Amino acid sequence: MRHPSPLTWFRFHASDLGFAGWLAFRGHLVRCTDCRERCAREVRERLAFEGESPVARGGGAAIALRFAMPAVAIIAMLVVWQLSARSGSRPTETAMNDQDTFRPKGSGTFDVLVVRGDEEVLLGERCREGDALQARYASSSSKQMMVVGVDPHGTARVLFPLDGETSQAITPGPNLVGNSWVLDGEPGRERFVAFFSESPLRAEDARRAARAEKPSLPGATAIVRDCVKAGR
Amino acid sequence: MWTRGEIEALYRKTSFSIYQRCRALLHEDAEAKDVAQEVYMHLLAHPDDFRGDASPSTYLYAIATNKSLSRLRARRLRGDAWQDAVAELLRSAPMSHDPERTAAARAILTSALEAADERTAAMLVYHYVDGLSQGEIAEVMSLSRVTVNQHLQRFRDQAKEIADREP
Repeated sequence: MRHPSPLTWFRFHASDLGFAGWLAFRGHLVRCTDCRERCAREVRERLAFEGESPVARGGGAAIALRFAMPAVAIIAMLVVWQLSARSGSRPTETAMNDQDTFRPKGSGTFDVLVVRGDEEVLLGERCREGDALQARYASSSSKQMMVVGVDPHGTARVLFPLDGETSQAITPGPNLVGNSWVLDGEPGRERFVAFFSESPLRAEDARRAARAEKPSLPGATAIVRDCVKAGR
Repeated sequence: MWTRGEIEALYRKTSFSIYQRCRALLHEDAEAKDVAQEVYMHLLAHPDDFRGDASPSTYLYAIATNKSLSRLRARRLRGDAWQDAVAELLRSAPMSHDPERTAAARAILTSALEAADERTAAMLVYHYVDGLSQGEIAEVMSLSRVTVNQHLQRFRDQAKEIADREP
């Protein structure tokens, strides 16, 4: 397993990884206990360092807090990761802010990423057994989102919120969907449909709509991502 | 060109990163903070130097590395002391489990630092100490990947010569 380089760690602490870099870094932290512990340790060091800095002292508590908050959020996120790694489930991700590299368009954007080793790439037309998928989304106007997955047999399942009965409130983003999905070996089309809306959506309606050739729901925007999985 | 306000904003964002980088190379807390301050003094003195080829943090990473290596030279180390300083640098390098590669790296890096060949020393640090990829080295040093590859091949040949000379 290739660990992040000193340059990557430098960029992480300087908040200059960019969206793709952050995804790759985060993907590695999820898989690597040593780097996760290092991240938590260094974020605490950074908190202490910035609390002592002339800028923090000169600007008072407000500046120290401005740096402390993201670091505290990262520590909280890492603690949750540690706990969920032990329990075998993944936590729900909260919002990331990287407006420099990811600008949402229209009522919502939805991408599915494939995690292969240390790389994360956008889902293409083809996928394969064992691919771990991670979704990212953003919306400047919608307040609710539901993601439905449809497997090669046509079975629809609510993936976000996982097995939920209604959609979930979202923040503008960009955001990652916390749980990832690992593809099995069943050949055929895998579909992922994100529904964005102002009002809450029902799972039953979303599942039915996702199975249609052209998914749509009244009062919602649907974004579809498909891939085809070859047989074994 | 960076304004003073932009440099202050950069300071807020990157001061820990720079300090951490300097400490990794100098292995001394107070000196690392000192050199970190020199990095920002450099930005204030040369606000036009940043051309925007790489991200600001990449640019700062290079400056912090160069200033730390200059500080190592300024300690007026000679002979065995250089070897010790370089050994310290290589201790946590990705290839530190490989004694032959580490010994060759130590020899090459020591001679580059002694000769005050700053760019070569920096590239050696990026390659042997940091384990950066060719693409990352190219980005940090504003070189093409072809040029980086040529330099690294030369280092590898040198390292092989050194390893072959060892009894």
